[in-house]
Amino acid sequence: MTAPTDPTSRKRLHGILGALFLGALLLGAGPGIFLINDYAAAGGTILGMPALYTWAVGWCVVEAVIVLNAYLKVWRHES
Amino acid sequence: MDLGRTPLVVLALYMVMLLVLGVMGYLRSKTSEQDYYLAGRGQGVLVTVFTIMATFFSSAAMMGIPGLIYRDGTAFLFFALNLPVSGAVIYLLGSRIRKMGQRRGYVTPADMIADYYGGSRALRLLVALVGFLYVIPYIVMQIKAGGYLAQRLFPDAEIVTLLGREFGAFELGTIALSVLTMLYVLVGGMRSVAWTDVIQGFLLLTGMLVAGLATIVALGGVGAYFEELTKLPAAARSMPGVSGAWSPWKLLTICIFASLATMIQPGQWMRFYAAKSAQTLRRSALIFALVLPGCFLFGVMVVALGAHAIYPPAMVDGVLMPHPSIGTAASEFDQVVVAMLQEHVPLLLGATLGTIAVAVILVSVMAASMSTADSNLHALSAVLTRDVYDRFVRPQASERERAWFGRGVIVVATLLSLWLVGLGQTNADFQPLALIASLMFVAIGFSCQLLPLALDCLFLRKGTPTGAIAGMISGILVVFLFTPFPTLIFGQDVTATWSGITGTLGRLFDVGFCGFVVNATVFAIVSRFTEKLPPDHVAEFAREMDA
Repeated sequence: MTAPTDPTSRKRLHGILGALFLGALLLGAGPGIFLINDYAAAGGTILGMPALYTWAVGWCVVEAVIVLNAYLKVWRHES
Repeated sequence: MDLGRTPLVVLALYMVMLLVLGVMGYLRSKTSEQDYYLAGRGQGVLVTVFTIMATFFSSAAMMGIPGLIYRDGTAFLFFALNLPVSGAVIYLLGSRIRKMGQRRGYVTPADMIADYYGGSRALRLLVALVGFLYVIPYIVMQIKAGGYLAQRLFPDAEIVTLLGREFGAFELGTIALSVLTMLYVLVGGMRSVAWTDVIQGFLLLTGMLVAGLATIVALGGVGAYFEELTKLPAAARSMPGVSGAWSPWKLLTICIFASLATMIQPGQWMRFYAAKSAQTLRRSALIFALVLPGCFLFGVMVVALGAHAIYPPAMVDGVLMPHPSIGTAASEFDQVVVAMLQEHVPLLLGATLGTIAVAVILVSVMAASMSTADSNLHALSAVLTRDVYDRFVRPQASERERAWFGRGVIVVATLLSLWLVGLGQTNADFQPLALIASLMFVAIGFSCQLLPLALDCLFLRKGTPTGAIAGMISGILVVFLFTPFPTLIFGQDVTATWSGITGTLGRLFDVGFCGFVVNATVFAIVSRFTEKLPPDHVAEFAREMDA
């Protein structure tokens, strides 16, 4: 996906990325943890790593990717 | 394992390098206040990103946070999710702060906030007070880290008696760290602080990753490491952690509000003013958000979790204690990274290479402490000189006089922090916030009380000066109630009721968030019924911000 050229589209994309970031936070560090906590407590693993560890690393990567997208498609085109 | 004299040699080389950079910063500096505090507002990407990262990553990152992960297991790993948030904040708030700072010549946070709220003197004082309440605990915890490190590195150091007082490794470590930091901040101002931050930032990021790598190798490789982690007890693999301290709501509020508060504390706020351009901050935000989570999750967090597997903490007489190989008191969870490296790296790499590697990593712990202490000392000097001395004590003071006063602040703040550390060590009744991470959350809680004002003047522009003052006072008082100080001052009987309330809230949410909610609510209500700012003043501010 290329960066939007007009300010209105950039603003909309910024809003979408902001909402995704907030969603990643809620799922990653917030109540989303309840989705996996029982499985983690029972000794569950994801990709051979403890489930909660993978959950934290995974959502951290998602957040970083959203920031990277914001930089490439919105921030660096602002004056 | 005894590391001999190698750490001393590496430390000495490191300290000489810092002093040389301090002198170089002095030689490049001009005599103006703006140059001393903001390095001429011309810092490029490399210096900006490293000074922001080094200021952000303190002894808490190398000792306090790993200590909590060692104590509680994977539950506290989620703290890492605050790092991309902080990266985004550098751009979202920092670029606006920088723009107004460049246009209007602001130096401190209070310059901007007081200017927006009609030059309110009370607000300027309150913002300065928040700066003070943030900076002193932060310097105290950096100095403590220097003491812990010295204690670990030189366990057989001789006791030195001076003026009837005995100084062991801990005391000598705290004195060495604070005096050296004070010296190069005094000499070169922001330029020296930022330049040393580049070296210290590089050292600490490298140290974090090497420490993580060493732990994985010590446990037999990646597969064996995660195999060990899967054998952790259920409490260490899940929420709310071994001590039961972490709920998802608490971690979520920490990730949002502690990130915001850390990024608007005086030292970081001034770094936004000092950045050369908006592009500098954009790139810094991106690098911060991509690099730091990696160093954290694959560096020191790996060490702390590995330590939990090898040296599990245990309940002793109803108190959760570190394994004897890590520490002998409940406050010694902080020493996990140092203890792990000292024990395992020399065995892994051989005596000579291993000892040098440990010494370098331990210097990176020192670097984490010093790079935050220097930024905070420097910021406090600016805050007390410009916001208090220049406005309320001697408005007619020359620039030269203010510069000397600022340097005096650095000396006094260093001595005050050293005294507080000493008091904590020698006085059994003065043990509030013994863990480094506890001090960190209280300091950040105070800094969080700048947030409603910052958001209002940067984005919303609906508040009134009276509302801002009322909100800040309420927020500061709320955070104060969460500290052990009310009980120390008023006694257990008087504080029993609110201790129960703050105890419950503190288990559910971040301290700063609790203060923020009260602050923002009072701010909004009072602003509704008090005199508004002149519309043309607000419009002019908005026009410049959005230009």
